[in-house]
Amino acid sequence: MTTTGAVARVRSSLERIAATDTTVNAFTAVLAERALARAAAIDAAGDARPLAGVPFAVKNLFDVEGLSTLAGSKIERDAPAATADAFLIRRLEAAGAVLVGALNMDEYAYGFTTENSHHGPTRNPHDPTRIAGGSSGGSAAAVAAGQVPLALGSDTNGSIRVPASLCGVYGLKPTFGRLSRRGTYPFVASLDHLGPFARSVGDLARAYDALQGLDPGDPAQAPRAPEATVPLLSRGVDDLRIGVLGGWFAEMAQPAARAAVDAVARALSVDREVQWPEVARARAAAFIITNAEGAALHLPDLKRRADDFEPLSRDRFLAGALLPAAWVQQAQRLRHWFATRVAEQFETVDVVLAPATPCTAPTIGTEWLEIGGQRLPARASMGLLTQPVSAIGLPSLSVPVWGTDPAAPHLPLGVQLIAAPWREDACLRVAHALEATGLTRAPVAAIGDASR
Amino acid sequence: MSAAIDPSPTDASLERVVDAQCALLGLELAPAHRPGVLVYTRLVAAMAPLVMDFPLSSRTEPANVFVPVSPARRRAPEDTGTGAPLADGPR
Repeated sequence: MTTTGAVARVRSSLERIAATDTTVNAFTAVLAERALARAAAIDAAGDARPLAGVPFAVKNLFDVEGLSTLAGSKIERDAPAATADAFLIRRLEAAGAVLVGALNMDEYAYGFTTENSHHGPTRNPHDPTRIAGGSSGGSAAAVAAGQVPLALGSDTNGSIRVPASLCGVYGLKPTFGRLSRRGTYPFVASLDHLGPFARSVGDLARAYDALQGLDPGDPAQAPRAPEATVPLLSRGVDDLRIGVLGGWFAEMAQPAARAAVDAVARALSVDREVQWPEVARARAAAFIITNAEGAALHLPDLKRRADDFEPLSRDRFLAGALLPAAWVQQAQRLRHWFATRVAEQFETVDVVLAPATPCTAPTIGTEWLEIGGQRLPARASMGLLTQPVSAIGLPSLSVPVWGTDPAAPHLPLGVQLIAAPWREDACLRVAHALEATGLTRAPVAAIGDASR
Repeated sequence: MSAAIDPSPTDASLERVVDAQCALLGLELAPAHRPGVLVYTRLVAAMAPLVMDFPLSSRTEPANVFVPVSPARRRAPEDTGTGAPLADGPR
């Protein structure tokens, strides 16, 4: 992030949005007047806060005062405007950042592609024929397109890490319960996380540090004091034990994804493999909990106005309303069992590596993918490798690696750096070390927009 | 491992389950939505044995834990937005 004035930075962001968003389609609302007024106040005060004047944007499931919180839907267009900004927006603005707009997403966060039929798909800034990933696709794309240096998204099963992987930016899903969710539209209360995207590890850490803060109004937040990570970034990784996740995480990945992990492992001189037990069962548990909880949340509208739902996820929501309660409750118990077994593993390792997505960004409209020798539905399968991690709330940071897909050498693919609960510092330190080697990077996409 | 799915819904027993659950919930399924609902019901039904067949002790806790709500917590103060770290609130 540069150190020019806040108004200049906000204007530059607004100009970049105007020049590129007909191609990318990341924004659903641009708040020029509000942003310029707040930026002017920052400049007038000679502000020196850590994020002073940094433009940012949020997935449109965050409450923004004066806007209806759409959560990617058509249905919520009728909702009354939010009367206050979400807690995390207020945290970033309290650190000096300036909100410039709201971003596209999969409807009600149920998807991994941001092929939103109501607002149109968000396109990958590095190749607009391809998906941006989702459900926080607008957040990752806005950062990759250089529209904003910082964005917020949510991650229930991979919705920060999947679009970060496909758009080539850094994305952090913190530990479950670390950041307040107050003022955001829920998807699956058992699994919802919020977190930041950025184009550098330093920016990601600065944002994460600003986002931390206890909120007595969020019953899901853990009673844990903020722990600053920025001062730890340059400590290096010599004292961290790092391994590569095998089993499911290798089997359910295409060669390009395995190559990305191999490249990161080489850069870190890692040759140790780690195996988690029963990963397929943990993933199934997360799928069932998501399907049932998400559907129950929307059951009144599913009964009354199913045709107003996103056609790409409506039938999945409807099916979720019909699941036996015993499946859901057993899934919650299996989650706890799995979390306990994985915690044992973290007694001998600090960070483990796994692909964030099974492949690079597919073309918009792709229905099926070949993964692990199986033909799988593309939209539900992009989260195969992130879902077992968020199922047990571990912090995970996706770092962008380039050129591992011979069929699409211009595209990135993310590698997850996964740590034990509350060890975001370890994820960020490894990411910082990788960024310093030049292996991982998040360049602004060169967008051939007609208006530029 | 998750199983590949057959997108053509032909399983009569699955259809009966869907119809019965819809009736119980008062959910009227539009004909246009029915094929997709059957596809996704089959997908999740194929995953369910991974969860249901795994032996767990009856002492295994669920992952979701209830947090009691005290009167102080119900009146949780709003963040003041000053930029200072927020003070510990009641939990």
